[in-house]
Amino acid sequence: MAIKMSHTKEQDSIPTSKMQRASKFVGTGAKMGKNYLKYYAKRLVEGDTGRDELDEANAEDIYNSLSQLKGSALKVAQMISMDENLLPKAYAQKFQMAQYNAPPLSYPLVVNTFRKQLGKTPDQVFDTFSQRAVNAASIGQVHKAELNGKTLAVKVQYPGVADSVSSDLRLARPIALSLMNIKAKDLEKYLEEVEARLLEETDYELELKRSIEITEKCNGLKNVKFPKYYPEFSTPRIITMDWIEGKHLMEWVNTNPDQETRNKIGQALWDFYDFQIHTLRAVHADPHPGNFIITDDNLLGIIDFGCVKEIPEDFYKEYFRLMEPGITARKEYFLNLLAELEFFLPGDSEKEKTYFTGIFTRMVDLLGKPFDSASFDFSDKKYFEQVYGLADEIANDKQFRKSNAARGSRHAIYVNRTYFGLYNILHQIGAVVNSRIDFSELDLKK
Amino acid sequence: MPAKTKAKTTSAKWTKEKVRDAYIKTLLLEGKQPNSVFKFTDDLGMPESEFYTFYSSFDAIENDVFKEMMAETIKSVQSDKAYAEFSAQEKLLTFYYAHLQVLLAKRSFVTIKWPELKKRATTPDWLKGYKEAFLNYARSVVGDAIQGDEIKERPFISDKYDKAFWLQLMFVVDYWTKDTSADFERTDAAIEKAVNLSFQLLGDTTIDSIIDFAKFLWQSK
Repeated sequence: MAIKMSHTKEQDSIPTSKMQRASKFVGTGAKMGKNYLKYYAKRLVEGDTGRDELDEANAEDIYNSLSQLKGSALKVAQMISMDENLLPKAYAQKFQMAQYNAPPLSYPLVVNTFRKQLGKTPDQVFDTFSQRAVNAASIGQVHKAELNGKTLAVKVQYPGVADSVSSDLRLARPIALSLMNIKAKDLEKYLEEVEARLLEETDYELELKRSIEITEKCNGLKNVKFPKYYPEFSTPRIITMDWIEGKHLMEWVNTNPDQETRNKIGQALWDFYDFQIHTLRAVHADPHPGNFIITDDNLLGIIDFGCVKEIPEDFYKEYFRLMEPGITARKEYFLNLLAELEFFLPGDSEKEKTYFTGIFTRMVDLLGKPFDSASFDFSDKKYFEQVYGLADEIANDKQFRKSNAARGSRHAIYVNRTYFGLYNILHQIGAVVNSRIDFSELDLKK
Repeated sequence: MPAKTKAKTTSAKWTKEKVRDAYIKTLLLEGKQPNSVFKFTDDLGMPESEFYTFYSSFDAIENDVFKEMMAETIKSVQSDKAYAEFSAQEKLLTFYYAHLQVLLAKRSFVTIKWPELKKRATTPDWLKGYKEAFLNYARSVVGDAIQGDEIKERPFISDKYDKAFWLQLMFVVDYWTKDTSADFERTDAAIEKAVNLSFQLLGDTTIDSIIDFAKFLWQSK
């Protein structure tokens, strides 16, 4: 906890008091108790504190405790922090640093889950089974098992997680509001989208089905490796798959691999996403370094299909029409597209329109940059500084914050999150990748 | 009833188990204890006096049922050879999960009886055997825990640890009787969190578990 405390500094550049408070309540476990006391003390002294203020204080306090949990609220916060790069880097970092700290499932509970779901104990199902979890997944934990000479990864879900998703989201709502500065009504469509994904993530049967489907369809891709899944040892709360031997992505990066290997892994990652987005139209929307393993023969192992976003046809077309290189130069066409994608709102004044057009032009130019390059260098710090810089600028911009309406399609949340996550990982790998998208081959006509 | 001697009737027809099962059935169908032993035995076609050869009262039957469920649980966890290797915390967790499996077979009975505890300050007669058996078991777990350095021995307070776990058990069962989640999943989570919290409280105080638990309870309302 002492280590965590050190993250609470660095608040000089934060524009509003809301933001200040918001940034405080992530990752400061030790402060939590005190905040609670303060809250209750305040309520005692002031009696009828304004309702809004009370809600806000309440949300913050609860968020404090949530940051200690393997909860979906934290995931929401993380997701929002990634979305659109609207949050400055510092906040995004804080959110990412907020780790899920709840204690791991006890072995007796794992046994109990096995008994209830498979009618047997883990020892009866497998030849060996690790009593301790070897890894934490976002809503469960992974045990290592052996059966008939094969090493398996067994993912066990925390009980009651599915139940708690909705209530977690109710908690996250006021926090998201104060962070994003958007109206509750506008937030609704985003939260619905997030809630749907989170609920899906708790559905291990769906995850199993999708994992099998996607891995089968991606079979032709080069330099990737998927585990085999075992439906006979899987249930709504348990998923069993092959154990992929290797290093976690960040661990592998730290071994300082040569550039050629970096490029190979980076390319495999890019191709995997490219194939999903343009061919499968369903994407592994959680490009988190923890979901990838680099095998000893330098293949990219992909191990978690909990969060899959299916990309609707209409949205796909609009989105990639917007991302086409050079599009911002075709002013009128670009403006029409922005309108179609719900970036402009009916009440916008001409001045606002001009302002937002400027912002979106820069965003599209920047984020779409790799799409026009046969060898994009993701290790380029300057590029990422520009991306973060723009995000900072937007977040600090009074006019942008004043306009407190949500802009953009709900589907964009996960697609943006995917690209943002992907870029980040490629940056960390330091890969040079052929990330060109041949827009003439995409079917983008209405 | 044919004119046979009482002793013969007893051995031929009524056994302790049969009386007990008949009683539970009556209780579950009526939702409460029969008005009198006379009413109960009369409905069964059994002389009232014979009832007393098995049990002194309805409470005594219920006591027997609860005590037996406790004994069955303890026996089943201790018969698993892996159990002996567990830490005290894991032992207690195993106990709770096993106990709920045992209680599940008589869930209706438990859910009728348990709310009565709210109205009382002291342990009712029908729960005394159950409590005693649990306290016995809890003392062995506490002993293991202190020996294994999982919880701290504290002057005066250590003697009360078994009572604390009794309160925890009351909470767990109470939670379970009200749990509406599929497969009583939330109770599983509640057990995990409650046991974690108690061991950390009795071991080294940490706020993490308190918040974890508080949030969980807050959420499940």
